[in-house]
Amino acid sequence: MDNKFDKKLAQHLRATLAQHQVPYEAGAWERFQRKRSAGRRKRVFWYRAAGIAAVLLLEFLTMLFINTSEIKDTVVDEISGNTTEEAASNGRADQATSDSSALGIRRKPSAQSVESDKSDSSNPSVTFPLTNLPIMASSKTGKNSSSEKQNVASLSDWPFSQIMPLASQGITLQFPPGVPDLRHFEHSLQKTVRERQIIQENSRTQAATRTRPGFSIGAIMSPLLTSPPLAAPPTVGWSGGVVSDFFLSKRIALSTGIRVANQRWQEDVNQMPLLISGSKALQSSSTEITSLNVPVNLRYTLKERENTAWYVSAGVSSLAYLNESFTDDFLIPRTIITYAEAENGQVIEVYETVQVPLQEIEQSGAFNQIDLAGTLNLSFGYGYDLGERWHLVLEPYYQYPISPLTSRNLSFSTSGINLRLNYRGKR
Amino acid sequence: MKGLSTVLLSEATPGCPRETELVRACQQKRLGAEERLYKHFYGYVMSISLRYASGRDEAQEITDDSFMKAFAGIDKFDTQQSIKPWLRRIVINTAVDYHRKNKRYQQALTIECVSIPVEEHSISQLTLEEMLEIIRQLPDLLRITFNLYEIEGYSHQEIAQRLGISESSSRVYLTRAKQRLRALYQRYWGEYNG
Repeated sequence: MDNKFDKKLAQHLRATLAQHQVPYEAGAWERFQRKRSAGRRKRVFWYRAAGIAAVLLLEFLTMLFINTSEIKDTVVDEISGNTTEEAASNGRADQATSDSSALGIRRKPSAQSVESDKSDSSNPSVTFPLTNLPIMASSKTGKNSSSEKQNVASLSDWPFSQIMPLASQGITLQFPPGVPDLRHFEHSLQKTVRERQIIQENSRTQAATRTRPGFSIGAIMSPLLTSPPLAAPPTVGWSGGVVSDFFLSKRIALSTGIRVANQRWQEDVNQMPLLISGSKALQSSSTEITSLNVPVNLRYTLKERENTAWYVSAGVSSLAYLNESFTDDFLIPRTIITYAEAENGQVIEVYETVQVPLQEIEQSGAFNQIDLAGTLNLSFGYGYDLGERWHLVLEPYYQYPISPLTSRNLSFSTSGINLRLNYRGKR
Repeated sequence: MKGLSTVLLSEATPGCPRETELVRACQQKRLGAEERLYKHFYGYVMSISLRYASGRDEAQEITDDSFMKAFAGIDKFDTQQSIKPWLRRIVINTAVDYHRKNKRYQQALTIECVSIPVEEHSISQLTLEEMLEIIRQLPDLLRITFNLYEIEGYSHQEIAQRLGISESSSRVYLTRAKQRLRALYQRYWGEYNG
C-alpha cells in the first residue's frame, strides 16, 4: 500500500514539476548584479593587494640590484682614474701610459669574451689576457711556460694575486702585449690595490647611507584612445593634469599626480527585437566618462645621457568619476490595433506589432564610483633636457583594466601619448 | 498574429536557436547578453532551486549562485549542446554545495518513522504549490536525496558520491523521505478536508 502510494506520488511530482517554471521576478537581475559586484570587489581587493605586494617586492629587489651596481661603478671609475694617474707619475711606465690600453683597469668582459678565453673554466684568475700569462708566470716563478694551463695555475703564487679579490668583483687588470717586464709595475700596482680597497670600503659606507633626494613636478597633457568593451573602433579623448616624481635612487622614481580624463564612445549592439511585451532590444549604447586619474607608478631610467634619458614605468591608477553618462537606445514592441469594416459590415480588429525606439539616459553624480587600483599602467618614455631644470618627456602609455570600471562595470582600455614638462628640484 | 505566435513558441522551445544565440552572445561578451540569458532562464533555474531549498530566499540565493557559476563557465560551454541540462547540473551541484556548506544535514537524524494509510486517488488533486510546500517541509538531507533520486533519476551510488555519504545511508534517507512525505501529505489532506 505504502509503496504504491510512494510510486504514485513520485510519478505525480515528476510530471508536475517537469512543467513547472516560475515567472521572472521584477528586480531579480538588478539584485543579482549587486551581489555579483560585491563578490567581484572582494576578489579584486585580494588581487590588488597581491599586485601591490609584488610591485613593492620588485621595487625592493630592483633597488638592491641598482645600489650594488652603483657601488661597483663608483669603484671602477675611481680605480681607473687613480691608476691612470699612478701610471702617469711612474716614469717606468711611459710606454704603458702612452697607450690608453697600456695599463688600465676595466670592468669584467662580457660573457661572450670570457667564453672565448679557453682557460676560464679552470681558474677564475684567467680574467688576465692569456697573451700575457707566459710573461707574468715566467717573470716570477721561472717555470717553463710552454703550457698555458700550467701558467694559469702558477698565478696563485704570483705576488699580484693580491689583486684577485678585485677580479672577483668584476674588475679586470689588462696588460699590454708590449710591456717588457711586468715587475716594473709590481710596486705601483700593489700600492694601487691597497688604495682601491680603501676606496671600496668608503664607497660601500657612502652607498649604505646614500639617499638621492630630489623631485620633479610638471604638467602633463595627453591625447588618448579609448578601446570600448565591445569590438567598436577606438575613440579619441583627452587628459591633462599635474604629475610629480620622487627619486628613490639614481634610476628609480616614484611617480604620482592627478589628471582629468574625458572619454566617450558609442557601441552598436543591434540586439534582435522580440515581440514579447515589455522586452527591450538594445540597439546602441553611448558612454561619456569624465574621471580623475591618480596614478602611482614606479619609473626606471633605462639609459641616461647628457641631455636625454629613456624610461620605463609601471604601476596602477585609481579612478574617481566626476561624471558618468550612459545613453541606451532600445527598440520595444508595441501592438497597434486597427479597426476596419469588412465587406459584410462587421467590424474587425487588425493587430500589428511595431518596434518603437526608446532612449534611456543614466547619469551618475561626481564621486559616485571610485575604482581603487582599477588599471594597470605601462609606459615607455623619452626625455630631453630643455635647460638645467626643465625636462620634456614624450611617453606612450597603455592602461589595462584590472577590474571592472565605472558604475556599469565596464572593461575598457586606454592608450595615448603623454607630453610632460617637468621642473626638476634639488637632486 | 501568426507571426507573433511563431516567435513566442520558438522562445519556449528548449535548445532552440534563440537560446543558442543567447549563449553565443554571452561568450562574445556582448553588452546586455548576460541580462537576457538571466531573464530567459530565471524561471527554469528558480523552479529547480525551489525544490531543493527550504524557502524562497534560499532558492533565490541558490539561483544567483548558479548563474554566477554559469556565467563564469559559459566560455567553455559547447553551443552544439542544449543549455538546459548543463544549467540543471549547475543548479543541483550548487544546491548540494549550499546545504553542505551550511551543514544542516543533522536535522535528518531526528525524523521519526511513520506509516499512515493515505488515499491514493487524492494525489492527483495536489496542485504544484501544495507539492512544493510539502517538499519544502522535508529536512534538507531527505529533500535533497528524494529530489536527486525520484525527480532527477540519480542512482544511490551517485547520490552517495555527491553528498559524501554511504549508499546505504542514501537508501535510508530516501525511505525516510517517503515516510515523511506520506505523513505530511496525510496531515495536509486531513487539514484540507477537515
